Amino acid sequence: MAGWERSSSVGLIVFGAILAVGMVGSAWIVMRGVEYVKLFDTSMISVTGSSHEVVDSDTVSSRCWASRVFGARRW
Amino acid sequence: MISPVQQNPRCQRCGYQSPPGCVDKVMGYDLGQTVTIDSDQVQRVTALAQDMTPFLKQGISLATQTLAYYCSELPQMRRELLAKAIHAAQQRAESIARTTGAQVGPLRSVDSGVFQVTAPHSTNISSVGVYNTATITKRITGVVHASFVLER
Repeated sequence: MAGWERSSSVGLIVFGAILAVGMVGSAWIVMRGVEYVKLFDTSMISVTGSSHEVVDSDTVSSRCWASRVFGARRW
Repeated sequence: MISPVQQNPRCQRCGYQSPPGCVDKVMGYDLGQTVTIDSDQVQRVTALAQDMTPFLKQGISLATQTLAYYCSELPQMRRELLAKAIHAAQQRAESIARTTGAQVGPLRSVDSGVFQVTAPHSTNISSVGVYNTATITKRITGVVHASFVLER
């Protein structure tokens, strides 16, 4: 097989692979687009939910100043 | 945690009626230090902060500067509250949808709001969340915003 024939075969294979990947990618993008449009077409209801619980603390942090007088208290 | 002792001399200071050449005279000392207590004995530390009599009998003056209460189970409670809040949101959506003759479909999106840790009957809330440390009993509130598909 001549050199130019071999390189044109390789080129054809690469071109085919790129084309296949491109077609799959395009199909995926179209599908996502359809899903996106359907999402906007869907009626939605948005609400806020809340819950609460009353608990007792189990840890305490206290800072205090302790002092004592030494020597004469008054003069 | 106990800080280093601070020492302040108690001086008899010279006044304008003092004789010439008078110098301040050290009559005694005030010794004090900051004591920080982190404990799980909530009631005991609270009682200690409220009644200083045992220390006063020993000549020790004790002044409470801060007394803060915390809830260590908050991370676990957050998860439970979020689950309950989503359930509440679904019930709310169903009651709204029912009046219009529609049905609530699958959950489309959900986002969690900030948690508010307040005193039991407090109305204080903040967009960045509140953590009240002044009371032993706390009310923890969790909020979610949920969007459901509406099926007709």
